[in-house]
Amino acid sequence: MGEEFLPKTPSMVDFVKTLIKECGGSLEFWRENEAYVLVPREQLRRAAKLAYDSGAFLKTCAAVDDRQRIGGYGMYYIFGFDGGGYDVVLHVRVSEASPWVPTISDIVPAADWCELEARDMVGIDVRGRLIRRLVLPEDWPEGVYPLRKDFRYDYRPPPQRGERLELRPAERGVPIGPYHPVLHEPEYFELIAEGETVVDVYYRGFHVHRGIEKLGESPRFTYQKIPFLAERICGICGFVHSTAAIMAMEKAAGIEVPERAEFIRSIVLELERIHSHLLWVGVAAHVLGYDAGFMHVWRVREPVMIISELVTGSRKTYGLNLLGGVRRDIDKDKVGKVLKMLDRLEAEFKELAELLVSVPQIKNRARGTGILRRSEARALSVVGPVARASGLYRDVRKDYPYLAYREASFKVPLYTEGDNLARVLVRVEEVFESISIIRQLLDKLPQGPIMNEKCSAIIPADDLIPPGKYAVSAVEAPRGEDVHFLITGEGRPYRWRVRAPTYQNIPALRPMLRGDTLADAPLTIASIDPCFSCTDRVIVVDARSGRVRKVLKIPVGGGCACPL
Amino acid sequence: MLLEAAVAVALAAAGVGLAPIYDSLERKVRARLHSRVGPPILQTWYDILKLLRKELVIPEGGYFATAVVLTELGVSVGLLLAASFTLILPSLTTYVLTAVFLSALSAMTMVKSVSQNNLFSIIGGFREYSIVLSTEPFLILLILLIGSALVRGCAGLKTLVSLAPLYLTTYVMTARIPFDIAEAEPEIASGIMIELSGPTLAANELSLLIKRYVMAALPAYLILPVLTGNLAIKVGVGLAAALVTWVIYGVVAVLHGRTRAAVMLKGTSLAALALTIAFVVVELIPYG
Repeated sequence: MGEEFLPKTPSMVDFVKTLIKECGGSLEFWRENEAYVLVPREQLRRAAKLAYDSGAFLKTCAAVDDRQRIGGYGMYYIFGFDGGGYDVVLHVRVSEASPWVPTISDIVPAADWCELEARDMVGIDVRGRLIRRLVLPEDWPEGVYPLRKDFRYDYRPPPQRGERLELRPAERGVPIGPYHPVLHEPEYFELIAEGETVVDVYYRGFHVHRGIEKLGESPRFTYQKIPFLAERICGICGFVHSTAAIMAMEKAAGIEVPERAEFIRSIVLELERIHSHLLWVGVAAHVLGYDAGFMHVWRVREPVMIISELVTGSRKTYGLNLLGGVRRDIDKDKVGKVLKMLDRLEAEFKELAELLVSVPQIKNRARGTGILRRSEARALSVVGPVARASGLYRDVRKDYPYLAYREASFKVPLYTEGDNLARVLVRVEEVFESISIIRQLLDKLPQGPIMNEKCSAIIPADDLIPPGKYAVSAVEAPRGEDVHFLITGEGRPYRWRVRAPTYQNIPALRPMLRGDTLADAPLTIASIDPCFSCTDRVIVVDARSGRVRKVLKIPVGGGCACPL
Repeated sequence: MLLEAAVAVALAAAGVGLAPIYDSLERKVRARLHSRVGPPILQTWYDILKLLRKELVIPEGGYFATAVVLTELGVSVGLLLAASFTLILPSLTTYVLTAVFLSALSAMTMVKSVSQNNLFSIIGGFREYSIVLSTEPFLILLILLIGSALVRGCAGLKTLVSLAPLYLTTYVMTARIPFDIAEAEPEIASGIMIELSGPTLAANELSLLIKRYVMAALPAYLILPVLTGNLAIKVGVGLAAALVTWVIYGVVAVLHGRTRAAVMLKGTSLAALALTIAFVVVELIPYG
C-alpha cells in the first residue's frame, strides 16, 4: 500500500503522527480523509485510548481472515473523528498461532459487540473481558468460524448438543419477544420488573441471520451485484446500504461518479429518510395506543411512495445504484411533479405532527421516559436521532459530507433532553429538513451524464476494482450512521463489513429502560427505531434442524463492557 | 306487570343482539375518522361466529379460566337483564342486583386473568384490578344512591347531577382507550386475552360487548325511571341513548392514546370521587 492522494485533512496528519510517536506502529496507507495505521498488538489499548480521548467515536471493528492475503488474522478498529471529518483505522495483525487481541471495551464501551462478533465469526480471541456468544446460536459447534476463508459459504454444520454456558438472569422477567406485537422482527428482551418498574434488562438478538457478509465474498456475487444484495439487508433503509456499499467500492477503485448521479442518489436517500421517519412516527403512535395517528401517517406517507416510484421505478427497494452512477434519470417533467407532491406532503405532515404532539397521552408518556444521558450516548457511540436527541451533534451528512450534501443547506435538529419526546421531535423536524433538501437538490440538479463512461456495459465493472484496496464509507441512514468497510478481492470483496445503525444503538436500551415503567418500555424500545434485519445480517443459522430452541438469556453488556 | 317483565326481557335480548352490531358501527365510525372505509355492519357478528366454529383449544392449566370465561358470559347477560329491569320495573331489588352483577363481572375478569398460566395475562389482571378499584366503587355507590332516592320517592330533576360521574365511570369500565390497559396489545400482547382462542375468545368477546352495551345504556336506564313512568318513552329513549352513548364513547376513544396504570388509578379515582361527592351533596341537601 502506498500514498494515493495527499490527505486534505491536516488534523488527521497530526493525529497519525502523534499516534505513531506515542504507540509505535507505522502508517500503512492514507487518502483524503482516511488513514490506516498498523499498530502492534501490545500498543492497541494505548492507541485506542489516545483516539477515544481525542474525541473519536468507535464506528466499529472488523475481524478479517487475512491468511490468504498477507498472512495471519487482522482486526481493524475504525475510529471516526466527527469534528475533523476523517477516519483513522487501527490495524492489528495477529498470527495464526496466537490469534488474540486485548480488549478495548473497558476504554471504548462501544467496542463491546464488535469484539464478541470478531470472536464468534473469525475466532480471534479477546482477552481481558467477559466472554459470551453474541452472534452464533447456542448449538453452533465450538471452533467453527463462519467468516474464515476455509469455511464454505453454503456449509451448515450439524448442531452441537450438550451442555452450554447459559448466563441466565437470576430472576424471571417479563419476556418481550422473540415474537411480540411491538417488535416487528424476532428479538428477545427480558425486562426484570419490580411492580411496574423496570429494574434491569436482558437482551438476546441475532435470531435472523442470513449470512449476507459471507455471501458477498462468495463466488455467487460480483461487485456489480453487491449493491443489489446490500439493498436487501433492510426493507426500509435498503438504499442506504446499497449506497454505502457502492461508495466504498467506488472509493477503493477511485471511480469518479458524475455530479448528476450524486444528486440523484442524495435525493433518493432523503426520500428514504422521509419514508422511514413517517413510518416510525406511525408505529410510535400505535405503540401509545393512538391508532388514529398511525392510520393518518399511512395516508400522509402515500405521496412519498408515489414520488419514489416516479423517480426510481419502484415504491421500495429501488435497485437504482450501479457502479459509477445510477440507472435512471430524473427529467424536467418529473421534477415538477415531485415538487408538487412534496408541497402536499409538507402541508399534511405539518398538520398531523402538530396534532400528534397535542394528544395528551403521547405528550405525557413520551416526555421524561427512556432517558439516555449525553455521557452514556458518547460512551456507547450511539448514532442518528438517538444521539441527536441526547445532545450529541452527530450527522454523517455534516461531519463527512458525501454525495451532494455539500450543495444543500440544512439544519441538524439537536435536543438535550435525551427522552422519548426528544427522539420524536428530532425525527419530525428531520422530515421537514429532508423535504427542503430534496427541493434544493432538484433545483440545482446539474446537467450531464448519470454514469461514468468507464463503467459502461462493455467493460465489466468488476474489472475496474483492483484487489487489496481498502475503503470505509458511511451514509447517514434514517436511524443513524451506516458504515461499510471493504477490502477488495479478485472480482468480489475479500471482506465486506456492514455496521448498521441499530447495532450501535441497541446497547443504549439498557440505560434507557432502567427505572421506567413496564408500560413505557415498548415505546422506549421503539424509540431507537430498531431494525433487526440490519443488525442480524451476519451469519448462517441452521434453520433446517427443526428443533425447538430455548431462548438463551444473556445480559446486554456483560462484565466491564457496559459500565453504565 | 307481566307485559312489563316481558318488555324488560325483550330489551335485554335485544341488547345481546345489538351489542356486536353497535361494535361494528363503532369500528365503522372509527375507520371514517382514520380515513379508512371500515367493515360491514355485521362484521363483529361474523367474527364471533367464525371464532365459535374454531376448534376449542384449552391451554396448559387453562381449564379453570375457560370455565370462568363461560360463567362470565352468563353473568354479563345477568347484568344486562338486571339493568333492563331497572329501567322497566324499578325497585330497590333491581338496583341492588345490577350492582351485584356488576361487581361479580369485574371479579370474574380478574379471576380469569390471574388463573391463566401466562405472565402477560397476570399483568393484565392486575391492571384490570387497578381500573376496578379506581372506578367501580363510585359506580356502585351511584347506582345504590339513585335507587334509594327513587324508592324513597325523593328523586327528581336533581338526580341529573349524577350523570357526570355516571358517564365518567361507565366510560372507564368499557375498557376503551385510554383505559384499555388490561389488554394493551402493543405493551402486554393482549394481556387478559392472550391465552384465549376460538370459542373461548368468542365468549369473552361477547361478554365484553354486553358489558359495553350495559355501560352505554346504564346512565339512561338509571335516570329515566326517575323522570318518567311511560313505558314507550322509557324503551325508546333507553334504546336511543344506548346507541348514541356507544358511538360517542367510540369517538372519544379515537381521540386518545393509552394511559399508564399508575396515572389512571390516581386521575380517574380522584375525578370520580369529586363528582360522586358532588352528587351526594346534592342528594342530601333536603335532609340537611
